[in-house]
Amino acid sequence: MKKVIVEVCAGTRCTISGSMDIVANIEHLLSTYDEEGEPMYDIEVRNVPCQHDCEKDGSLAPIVIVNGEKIVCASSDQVMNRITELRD
Amino acid sequence: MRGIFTPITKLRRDVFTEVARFGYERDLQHTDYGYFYEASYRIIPGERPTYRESVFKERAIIRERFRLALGMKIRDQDHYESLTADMQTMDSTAKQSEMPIVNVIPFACEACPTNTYRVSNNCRKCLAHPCTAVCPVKAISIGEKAAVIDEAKCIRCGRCFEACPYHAILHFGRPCAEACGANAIGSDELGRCKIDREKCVSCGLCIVSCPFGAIADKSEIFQIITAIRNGEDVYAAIAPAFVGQFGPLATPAKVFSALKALGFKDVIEVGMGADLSSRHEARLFVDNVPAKQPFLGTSCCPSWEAFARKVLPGDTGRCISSSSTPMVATGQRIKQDNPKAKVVFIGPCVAKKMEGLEEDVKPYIDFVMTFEEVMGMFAAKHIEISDMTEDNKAAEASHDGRHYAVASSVAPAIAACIKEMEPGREVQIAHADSLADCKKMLLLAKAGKYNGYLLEGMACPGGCVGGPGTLMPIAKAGMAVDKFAKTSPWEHADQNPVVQGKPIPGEPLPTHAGTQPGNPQGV
Repeated sequence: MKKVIVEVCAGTRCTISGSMDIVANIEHLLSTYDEEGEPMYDIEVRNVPCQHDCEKDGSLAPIVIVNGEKIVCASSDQVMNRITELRD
Repeated sequence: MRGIFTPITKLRRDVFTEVARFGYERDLQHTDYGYFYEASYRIIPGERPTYRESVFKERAIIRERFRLALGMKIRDQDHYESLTADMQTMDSTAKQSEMPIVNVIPFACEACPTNTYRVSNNCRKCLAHPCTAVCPVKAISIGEKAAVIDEAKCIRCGRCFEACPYHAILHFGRPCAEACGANAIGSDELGRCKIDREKCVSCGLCIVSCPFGAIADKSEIFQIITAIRNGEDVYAAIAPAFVGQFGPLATPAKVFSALKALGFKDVIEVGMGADLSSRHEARLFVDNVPAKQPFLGTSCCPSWEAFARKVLPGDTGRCISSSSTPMVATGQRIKQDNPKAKVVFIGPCVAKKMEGLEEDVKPYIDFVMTFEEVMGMFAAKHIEISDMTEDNKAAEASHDGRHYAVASSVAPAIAACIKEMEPGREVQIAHADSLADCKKMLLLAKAGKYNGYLLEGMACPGGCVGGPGTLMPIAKAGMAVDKFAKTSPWEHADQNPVVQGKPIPGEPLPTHAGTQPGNPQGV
């Protein structure tokens, strides 16, 4: 299991587009355990300030950066899929 | 869906953002209201439907949402009425919206089945089949492959649902009706949701519970922005639940700055008005309970107050405090200092929009909007809250006043003031959040179980932080409110010097006892 760093933009546009709901969903992963009772994920979630990509195109929000890789128009399922891929 | 970001949340916020952008960017002299036809294409682009059977219907719903967001009524669909027919009236710097605040967009409603039981494929057609044994009307029988419910016979008692060991019986309810604690959701002749205006207390929980986004509330964003652009002294009175609503990097001090960047002249914490209300209700309690009335109910939640007056008949209804709410007390204070002020209450609440329409509240509160709506203004004006410099203005509210936003905080705030007024007096407290629980509490109070009590009621589960106009998950929002409350230099309302020496709102000030807009006689 590899550590995954998830940076979620907490700027105005991303917040209005549900970025904090993505954080809430990722945080749920932190309390999932396998059959041995070991945590299934090693994730660090950070709130980062506006990435300013949305100034050109508002439809890019919300922006989430997973291990340095930027996901635009991010959704919870997209981000969680990427976390699962990177973990293995 | 509360607490989950869905396509409906996005559409609702897109509509607010478009209305705010129009408000800020339009040419005041030559306004083209056709903007909203175009904007419906921006929100629903392309030719293929994303959410419903056709892209035309999707856009038609968005346009009806625009009407509500501009403060207009929903159009009847059986004859022609222009999208922007009422825009000349709405294009105003004064309040234009009227009851009803909460509206069903009928053609967006999918007419969900009401209170029905159905057999799912979890049914194992078991030997015991307790479902048939418990059915009091013999509506359930064992068919070829599974149990079958005869809907004509079924009396919807739910006993089969409880008896099935495989949980194979499903209950269908309408999410709007299940969210409604006032039992105000019925059906029109096409089976679509219809709100009973006599019962509705405008809590707005149906709005955030409908999975098809068919219910929406009226907004005043457009008139607020128009007043700001007209150069008027527009003040933001921000409800205690605001902390944390705009994201983890938007500190309260940055939110104050950001609101000023929207054009508000100043920002006042409604927690200050909450302190005034706490002191006043403590006075009412000390003077009247139990000598003149058996108990006292709090006044801050307009849905609870309206609901309590419907549940409790006649004299008992007067046991709910009619003191001015924190919102009104704050508006009064702002207008004392600046008679030209226009006051915008910004909160998590749809019911405050109803309260704002009461005749005795109108002089103090000009507009009411939600956090979600003001977020649309930030987005439209490209204001990045986390980039703002901190406005470290002096505290205006005590810990208790700032904590009003969380369920079961209001009564203790009042009790602290009662203890100060009458040392040694033990105040018994009961509280309920959600109208269903409020109803139970009220019926017990009516039966005399709460004599001598201070009763706190809130319509939204969790209190104001769980309101329909919020952006953050309830638990996180509650923690943020708590953290900010602890930074106040004063613990209780009566220690707050900002509200000392000022008249305690009450006698010369409005009593909105039982006057609900659209129902002037009270209930």
